[in-house]
Amino acid sequence: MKLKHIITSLLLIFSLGSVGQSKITTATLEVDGLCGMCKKRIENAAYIKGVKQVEWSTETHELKLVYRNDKVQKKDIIAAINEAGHDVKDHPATDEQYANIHGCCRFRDPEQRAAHGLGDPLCKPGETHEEHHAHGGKDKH
Amino acid sequence: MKSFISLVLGLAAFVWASPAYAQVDTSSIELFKELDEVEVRGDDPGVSLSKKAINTKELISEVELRKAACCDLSESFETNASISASFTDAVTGTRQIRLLGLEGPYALYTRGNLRTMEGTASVMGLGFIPGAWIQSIQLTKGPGSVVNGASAISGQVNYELRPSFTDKIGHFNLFAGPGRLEQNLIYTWKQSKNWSSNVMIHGRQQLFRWDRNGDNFLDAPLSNHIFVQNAWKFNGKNSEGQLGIKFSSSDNIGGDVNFGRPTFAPIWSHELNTDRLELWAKRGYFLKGGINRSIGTQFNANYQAIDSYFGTRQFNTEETDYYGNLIFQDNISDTRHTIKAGIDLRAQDVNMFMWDYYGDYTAITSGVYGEYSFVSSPDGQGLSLILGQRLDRLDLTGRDPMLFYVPRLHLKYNHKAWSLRGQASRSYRYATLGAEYMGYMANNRHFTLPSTSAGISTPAVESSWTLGSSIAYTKDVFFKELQLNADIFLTKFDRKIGLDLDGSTDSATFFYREFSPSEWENQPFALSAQIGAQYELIHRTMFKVAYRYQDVRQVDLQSVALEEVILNVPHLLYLGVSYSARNGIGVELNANYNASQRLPSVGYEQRSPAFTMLNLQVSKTTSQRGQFYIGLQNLLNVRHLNPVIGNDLWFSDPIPGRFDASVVWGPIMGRQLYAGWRYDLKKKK
Repeated sequence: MKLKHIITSLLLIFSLGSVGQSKITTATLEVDGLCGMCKKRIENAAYIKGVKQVEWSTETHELKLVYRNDKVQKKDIIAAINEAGHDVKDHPATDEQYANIHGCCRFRDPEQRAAHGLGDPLCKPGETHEEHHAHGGKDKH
Repeated sequence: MKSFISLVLGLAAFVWASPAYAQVDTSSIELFKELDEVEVRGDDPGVSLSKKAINTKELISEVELRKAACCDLSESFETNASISASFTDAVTGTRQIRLLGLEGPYALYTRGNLRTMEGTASVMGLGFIPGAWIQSIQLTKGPGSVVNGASAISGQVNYELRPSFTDKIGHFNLFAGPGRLEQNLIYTWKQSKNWSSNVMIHGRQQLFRWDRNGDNFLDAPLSNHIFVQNAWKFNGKNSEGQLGIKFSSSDNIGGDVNFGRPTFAPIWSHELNTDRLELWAKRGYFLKGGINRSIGTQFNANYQAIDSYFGTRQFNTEETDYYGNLIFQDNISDTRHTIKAGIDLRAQDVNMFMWDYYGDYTAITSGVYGEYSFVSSPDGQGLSLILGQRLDRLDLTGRDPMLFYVPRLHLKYNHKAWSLRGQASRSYRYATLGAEYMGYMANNRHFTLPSTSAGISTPAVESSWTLGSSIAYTKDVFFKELQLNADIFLTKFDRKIGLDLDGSTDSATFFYREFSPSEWENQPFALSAQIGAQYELIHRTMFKVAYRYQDVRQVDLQSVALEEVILNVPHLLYLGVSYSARNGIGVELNANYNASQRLPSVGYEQRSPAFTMLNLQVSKTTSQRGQFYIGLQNLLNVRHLNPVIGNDLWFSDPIPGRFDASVVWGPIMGRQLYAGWRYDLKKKK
C-alpha cells in the first residue's frame, strides 16, 4: 500500500503547515439574499484570506463559516459581505453598496421577496447604515 | 438526399407520435442529479470525479471549459491529463483526441447521451462542436453502458449543450486569435410551460495566410465555418421530449501559401468542404410506480458530405446514418435493483473514394440488450455493480452477417473517502478507414488497403477486451477538499486494423489481423495508467497535478513481435494552477510535458524531441459586462518546425520525390496571443 503512505505523508505535511489548529473558529451569520446567484455572490465575498470554508443556504439564509481567528476577524468578513451589497443581521450594507447588486437579486424589494416566498427583510430599509458601522452593530433590531 | 429527408421525416413522426417513449437520458438518474448540482462558482474546482458513478467518470464543468482558449470540443481537454489532442496532419488543422492511448474513433461520442459523430464524422466531427455551446462534458474511461451500443472501446465523451429551460436565456461569445475569428450566439427565444426552444449559431473564419515557420505552407488552413442549430425541449407531466436540427458547413483551404495566386509552377494545395445535417429526437415517458420506471426512444439521422483533394489525391465521401433505440427501465422488488432492456438499430450507408480505392459500404447493426444494476445505498456507499450484455448482428456489404456477444461488468466499492472501481468489458466496432485516417491523405505514399479484386475496401471489424481499475480518495484536509486518483486500463484487441509506415518513405500499408484467445501474448494492446491530485494549496488557488503512462503496441509488419505505435506519448506530466480572485480576476496556468514519441522508422529521426506546452490565461468577470479573457498559448514557443517534408518540391502529377505532411508530433503554431469576451444574458424576473 504505497499509496497509503503517500497519502499519510501528504496529510502530515498539510497538518504541519497549519500549526495551532485551535485558531480555527466556526461561526454562523445570518445574511439576506434570494437566489442561487446571491449564494455565489455571498460565498465569493466571504471567502477572504484566512477563511477556510463558506456555505450559504438559500433556505435558512445562514452562512456557515470556518476561519482562522489569528488571520481574520468576524467583522472583516461582515464588511466583505456588505461590500458585495448584502445585508448581514444587524449590519446592513450601505445604499451605495446595495446599488451594485444585479437586478434579479434585489433582496430588499418586497415584490421580489414575495416571488421567492420570503417575508420581511433582515434589515429594515431606511436605517442609517453609517450609524450601524459606527456602533459596531450593537444597537437593537 | 431526397430519400434521406423523407425517411427522416417519417421516422421522426413515428418517434414523436408514439405515446410512450422515454427520457433517453437513461444512463442513470443519479447522473442527472449530479449535472444539476454543477454551478459556476468561484471556488468550483472545474473537474470532479464522480463518487456515485459506477464507471470511472470525470465531470468537466463550464468553469473548467473557460480556463482555456477552448474553441471546439477537440480543444476542450487542454486542462485535462486523461485526453491528449494532436494534429492529424500539417495541412487540415484537424485535431484528434487520444483516450487511453487510442485514437479518437475508438471513443463513443454522445450528445445528451444520444450517439453522434460516428463513421465519417468520428475525427472531424469534434471540430463541429463549438466550445461556447457546451454546458459540460462527462468523460468516461473505458467501455460504458451497453445501452449506448457496443463501441466505446476507449471510453465515452458525453457533452451537454446549453439547455433551453434555463434562466440564462442568452449567451454571446467573441474570440480572436492569430488570423482567426469566432462568433457564437445562443438565444432561447421560446419558453412556455411545456415547451422551450433555443437557437445556436457559430461562425469561424481564418482570414489571413499565416506562415510563421517559413516553410511556404499555411500553418492553419484558411477557413470559413458556419454551424446553426435549433433544439426543442418538451416537459410534460409524465413525459419529456427533445427535438433538434443542426446544419454544419465547413470550407477549408490549406497547403501552399500561394493558393489562388499566379505561380510559375504548380503548387501543392488542399481544399476540404464538408456539409453535415443532423436531426435527432428523444422521447421519454415515466411510468407509474417509481422514479426509475420509464420507457423511451432515441432517434437520430445524419447526412454528411465531404468533398476534398490533397494535392493530386481525391477524397470524397457521402454518408447517411440512421439510429434508433428503444429503452425500457424498471425496478426489481425495490429501487436498489434496476433493470434496463431494449433494442436498437443502426443503418449506415457510405460512398467513399480514398487513396484510389472505393470504400462504399452499407452496414446494418441490430442489437438487443439487457442491463442489471445494483446500488446498495442511495448515497453510493458500499457495493454497486452493473452487469450488461448485448447481442448484435452486423450486416456489412459483401460479407456474411456477423454475431457479437458483448458482456460488460462494472463494479464499485465505496468506503468512507475511498472509491474502488473495476471493470471487464467486451467491445467491437467497424472502422471507416478513409475518414478515420484522413490525415494520411496529405502525402504521396502509395497505399495498400485490404480490398477485393474490384478495388473495393469495406470496413474492418475490430474487437477487444478491456480490463480496468481505478481508485479515488476524496477528503477534507485542513478544511479544503483533497482529491487523489489513480487508474489503469488495458485494452487487448483480438481483431485490429493497423497502419504501417515503416516499410519505406513512399508506401503505407493497412493490415488486418485476427487472433485466437490462445494468442493473447501476440495481441495488439493499449495500456494506460494515470495518477493525479487536486487541492487548493494556497487560498483561492487550485493546484492540479497528474502523471500518465501509455504503452500502445501494434503488430510489426517487418518482424513477428509487437512494436510501439507511432506518435504515442509514453509519459505525460500535467500541472495546472488556477487562481480566482474575489473581484472576478482569474489566472490560469497549464503546463504539459510530453515525452518523446516514436516516428516512422524510415526517413525520420527515430524519436521526436520531448516538449512542454505552457498556456497562460487571464480573465476578468463582472456580472454587468460578462467575462473578458486574454491568453498566451504555447508560451515557450515550441514547434514542430518542418511538419511538411518536401515543401520545396516542384509539384506535378505524380509528385517527384518525397512529400509527407502526415506525421506531426507537436504544435505547428508557435506562441499565440488570443482574446475573447463572453456574456450571459439572464432572464428578467
